[in-house]
Amino acid sequence: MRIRTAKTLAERIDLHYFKRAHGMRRWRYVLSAAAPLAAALWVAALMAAGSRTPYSPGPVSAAHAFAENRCEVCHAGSAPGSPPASAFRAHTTDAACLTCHDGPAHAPNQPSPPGCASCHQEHRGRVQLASIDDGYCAGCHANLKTAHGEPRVARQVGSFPAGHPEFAALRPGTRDPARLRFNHAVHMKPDLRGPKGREQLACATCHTPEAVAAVSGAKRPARTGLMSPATYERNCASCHPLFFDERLERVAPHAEPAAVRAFVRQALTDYIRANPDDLSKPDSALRRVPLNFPRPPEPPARTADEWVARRAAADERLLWNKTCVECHSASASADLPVYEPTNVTKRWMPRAAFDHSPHLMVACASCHAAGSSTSTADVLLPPASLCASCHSGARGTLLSPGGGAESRCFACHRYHDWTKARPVTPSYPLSNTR
Amino acid sequence: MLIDRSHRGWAMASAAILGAAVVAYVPYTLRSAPPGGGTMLGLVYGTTAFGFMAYATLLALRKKFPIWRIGRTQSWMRGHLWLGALSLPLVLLHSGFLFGHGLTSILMWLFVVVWASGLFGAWLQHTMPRRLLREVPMETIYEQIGRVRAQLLDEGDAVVADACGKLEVEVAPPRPQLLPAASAAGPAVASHLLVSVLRTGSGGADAGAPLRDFYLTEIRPFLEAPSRRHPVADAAAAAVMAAKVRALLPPALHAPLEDLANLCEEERQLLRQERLHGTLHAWLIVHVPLAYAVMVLAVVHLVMALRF
Repeated sequence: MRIRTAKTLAERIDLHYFKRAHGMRRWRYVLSAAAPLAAALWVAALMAAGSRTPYSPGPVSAAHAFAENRCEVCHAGSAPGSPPASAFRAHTTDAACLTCHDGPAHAPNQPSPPGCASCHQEHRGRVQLASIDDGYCAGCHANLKTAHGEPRVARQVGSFPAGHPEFAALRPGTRDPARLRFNHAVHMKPDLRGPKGREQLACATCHTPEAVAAVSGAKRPARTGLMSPATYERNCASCHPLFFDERLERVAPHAEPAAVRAFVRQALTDYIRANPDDLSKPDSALRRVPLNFPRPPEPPARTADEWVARRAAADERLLWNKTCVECHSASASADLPVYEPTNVTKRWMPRAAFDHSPHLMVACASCHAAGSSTSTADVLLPPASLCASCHSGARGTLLSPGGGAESRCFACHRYHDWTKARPVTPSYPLSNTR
Repeated sequence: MLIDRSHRGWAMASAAILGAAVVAYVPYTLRSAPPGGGTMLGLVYGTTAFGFMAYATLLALRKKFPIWRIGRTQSWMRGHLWLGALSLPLVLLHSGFLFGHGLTSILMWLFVVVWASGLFGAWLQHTMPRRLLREVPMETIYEQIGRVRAQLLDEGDAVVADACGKLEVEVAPPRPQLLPAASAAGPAVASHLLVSVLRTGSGGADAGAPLRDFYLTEIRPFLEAPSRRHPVADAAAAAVMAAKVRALLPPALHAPLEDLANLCEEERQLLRQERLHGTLHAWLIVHVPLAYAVMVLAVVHLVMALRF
C-alpha cells in the first residue's frame, strides 16, 4: 500500500532547487532585463539620431508646422542674445514668440497680462492657436478687475450666449446716432419709381460687402467682412438727382453748400452765355423741379449777371429749403445753411469682428428688420439671442454632443489690440526649416 | 495574495486619495486652461503617480533582500497592490485623459498593459491558490515537478517489479537538473538505457501478466510523458480501465494496482498543478518586464517634460 508521509515527500525534493532558475522564472529574468534595456536603447538611439519628436507631447499648430522638428526655435529657454536662464530648463518664453510675432496689449488697464503660452497652448495638434477656449477669457472677464479706472466693458461676461450681455448698440435707450432722415420701410416698398421705371429695391441694391484693394495677382478683391457704407453718389443719386433749375439738365453736386452755390452760379452763367435769348423769356410752366416757393413777378433781367443772380437765389432756395432737407438737418444761418454731419455709423460693434461673408447665404431680413423700420433712430442689428439661434456652441460635452456654429469668444473678439500692432523684424532663416 | 480584511486600511487610504484627486479635478477641468500634465495640479498628479509606481516597482528589490528591516514584505505587497492600482487613475488625471503622442503615448499604453496585467494577476492570486488547494491536494514545489515525476516513474517500475518479478523497460537518461548537484556534471550518458528491474520471490508471472501489460502499455507511457490527451489523464477513464484489469487479477495483486492508480492520480494532479501554476504566474512575464520598461520611459518622460 502506497503511503505518502511528510518524510517521503521531503526526501523527494532537491534542497538546492532554488539556486537554478526554472523555465518561467528564467524567462521573467531575461525579459525583465531585456524590456527596460530595449526602452533605454530606443531612447539612446533617438538621442544619437538627434530626434526629439518622440518627446513632443503632440503635433504643433499648423502655423508652426515648419518648426515641428526644431524644438529650439521656441524652446530657447531665454530671449535671443541674453544669457540662458538655466542650463536644464528650456521652456518657451514670450521673447521666443515675439521674435516672429507682435502681440499688442489687450487693454491699457489690464492688471496682469498673461504670457503667450498661457492662452496659446501648443502641441495640441494642427489647430489654430487663436482658437482658444472661452475659459481663458472668462478667467478675467467673469469678474473683471482693472489696474486703474473703470472697465469699458461689462464686468461680468461668460460664454456666449448665456453669459453674454446684449450688444451695446441694442441696449435700452440706444439709438442710431446718424443725423440723416432715412426711412427703410419706404425704400423697401414694391413698385418704386426708379430711373428706369418701376423697380423693387433689395438690401443688396445699396448694401454690398466692402471690398478693399486686391493683392496683386489675386483673383478677387479682398473683403473686410463689413458692409460698404451707403453714399449718396453710389446709392441715392440715381433715384434722387439734385436738379435745381428746370432750364438745366445738370444736377448739383452732393457737396458743401459753398461748393453747391459756386456750381449753381457757374452752371447758370454757362447757360445764359450759351442761351442769351433766355434773358427775356418767362419761366416755363412745365418745370422739371416743382417750385413750392412762389416768387413775386419780377421784370425781365437786364443783364446776364442779374439773370444769374436772380435764378441762383431761387435755385438755392429750392435746394436749401427743400431738396437738401429731405435727408439732412440744417441749422439756420445768415448766408449759407449749415448741415449737420450725417454721422452714419460704419462699424456698429467696434469690439467685435463680424464678417458678413460667411453669412451671405442667410436672407438679410432674417437678421435685419429693415422692412418695418421707419426711423433713422432704429438700430437694425440683430439681438444676441438671434445670433445664438445658430451660434449655439460648437463644443460638445460628455452629456451633450453640442453642435451649431462656433460660439467661442474668439469667433467675434480679438484679444490683441491690432490697431497698436508694430511690424516685427523676422529673424528666422528659411534654411532652419530643412 | 488574498485580499482580505487586512487590506482594509490600504483600501480606505487609496479610496480617500482617489476621492481627493477626483474632487480636486472637477474645478480644475472646468477652469480656463484645459487640464494637462504641465499645470501645477497636473504635476502634482503626475509626481504622486510616479511615486506610487516607483514604490510598486521597489517591491522586487524588497523581495531580493528579505532581511532588510524596511517593513514586512506582506505590507509592501499590499502597498504594491493598492498604490499600483491607484497609479493609473492618477496618471489619467495627470494627462487630462489624453494618451498623448510619441513617447507619452507609448508610455501610456505600456502602463495600461502593466496596470491591467497587474489587476488580472491580483485577481488570479486572490482566487487561484484556493483552487490549487482544492484541486491539487498532492501539490509539490513547482520547480521540482520534473524531479518528482522521475521518482513516480521509478516508483511505478518498482511496484510492478515487486508484484510481477523482472521488468524490462527502456528509460531515457536522467536530466542533469534531476540529478544531485555532485553528479550533474558527470560523464555523458547514452540517449536511452535498457534497465532491468529485478525482484525475487514474487508471485507467478502468469498471474501478474495483465498488471504488467496494463502498466507497460497504459500507465508507464503516461508517467514517462504525461499528457492531458493520454487516456489515463482522465480519472474516470483510468478508473474504468483499472476496474477491467482488476477483474483479471488475483486479490494479491489488487494492492499494487491501487498503488499504480494512486501514482496516476498524483501524476494527474501534477499536470493540473502545472496548468494552474502557469495560469497563476504567466501574467508576471508581461507585468514585470513591462513595468521596468515603463519606469525607464517614465524617468525619460519626467526629465523631458520638466526640461521643455
